[in-house]
Amino acid sequence: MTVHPSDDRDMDLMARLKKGDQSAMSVLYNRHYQRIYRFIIRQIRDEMMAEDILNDVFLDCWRQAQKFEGRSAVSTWLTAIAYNKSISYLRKRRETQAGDGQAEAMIDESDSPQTSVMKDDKGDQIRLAMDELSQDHKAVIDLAYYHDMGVKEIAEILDVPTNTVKTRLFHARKNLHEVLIERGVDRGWP
Amino acid sequence: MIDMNLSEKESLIALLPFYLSGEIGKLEARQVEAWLRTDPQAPAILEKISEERHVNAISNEALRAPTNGLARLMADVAVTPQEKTLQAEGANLLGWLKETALAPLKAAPTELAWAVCGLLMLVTVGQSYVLYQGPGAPTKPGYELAGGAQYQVLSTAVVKFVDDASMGAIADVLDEAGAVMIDGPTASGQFTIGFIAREGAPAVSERLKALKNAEGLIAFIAVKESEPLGRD
Repeated sequence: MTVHPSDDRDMDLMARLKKGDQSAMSVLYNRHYQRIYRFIIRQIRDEMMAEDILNDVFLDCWRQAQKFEGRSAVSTWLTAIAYNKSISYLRKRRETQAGDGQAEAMIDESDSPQTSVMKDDKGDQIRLAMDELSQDHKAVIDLAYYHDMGVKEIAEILDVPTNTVKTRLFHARKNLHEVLIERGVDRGWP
Repeated sequence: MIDMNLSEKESLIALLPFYLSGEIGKLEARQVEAWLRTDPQAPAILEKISEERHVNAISNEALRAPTNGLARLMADVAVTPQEKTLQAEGANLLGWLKETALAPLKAAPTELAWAVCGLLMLVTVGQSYVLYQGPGAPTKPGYELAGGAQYQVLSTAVVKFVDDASMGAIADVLDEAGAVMIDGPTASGQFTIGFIAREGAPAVSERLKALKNAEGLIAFIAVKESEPLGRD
């Protein structure tokens, strides 16, 4: 990721956090919470749990501020914490459901009247198709498309080699194309 | 770098999202631009990825985080001790050793100095355990000393923000005034804030005045009657 002036501001805030300055925590939260919340909820698709994980991410940031060495941007560090917590939550949810003999919780995919009307729109078809991608593919697309992360930052967040990021993004787009075909939208490949 | 798991063209396609966001190295950007000039199919692929980015952005922007998240976080922060790394503890200890504890031992044999050093480290590790893990760890809200004596709360005030005040604006104005959120909101939407001791900060009365003048943000603010204005 390119180094922005805002990164310097984040580093200053982290330095204050390390000294136990709580007011720095509230500023850091306000600079990043929307983006982190969006990333979490796109992964787990559970609003109430996303709020809890969001709180946990920033509480970890406070608790472990001393461990932040500034090798990566603060936003990358926070996103990596959010990703790990989301993965952990999804794993536990699957285990709990398996233990209870339940099927995977189904998220209501039925269309609201509004989305039904909008389904004719290609953009909405792409949006719905993106929601159908696997969690790995959704994560890499979100990080590259919306969070403007570079290959190295995504590799750090997902804890995979940089080449895997490129391969995963390529296959995520390919799967998106296939889901769109199933939805009757053919934009051509690649 | 070309990915060996993908063909050359596939690798270039995989780089396009990063090319569009500018998060790409110069060498890779030149490779992509050369391909965009020579492959008639390439601009259409770039257009598709641009469309996907646009749709993804709209989906994300439609999601709104809860508005009471900061108050919840700050309440948790107030009762959560920070973890100390061995490096940070070590730096503090070494500074103290150098300046104070080992000064009388300068003329002593090296073995004796290391033995004393080891003993002091054991004492420090033990203290850390008691402070952060053991029975002495904070277990109830205590905002007077948050994270260290230098963050002592001088005075507290009750404040109500205007209905459409953004959390970002609230955080900024509190930060500028050297204040932190301590509690709230109450059922009537009031928060308790604390003015913290900060080097070089104006007197609390001045900071209170600055908050009162924060136009379009604060509906009312009042220092708690039982707690007179603290002194910096």
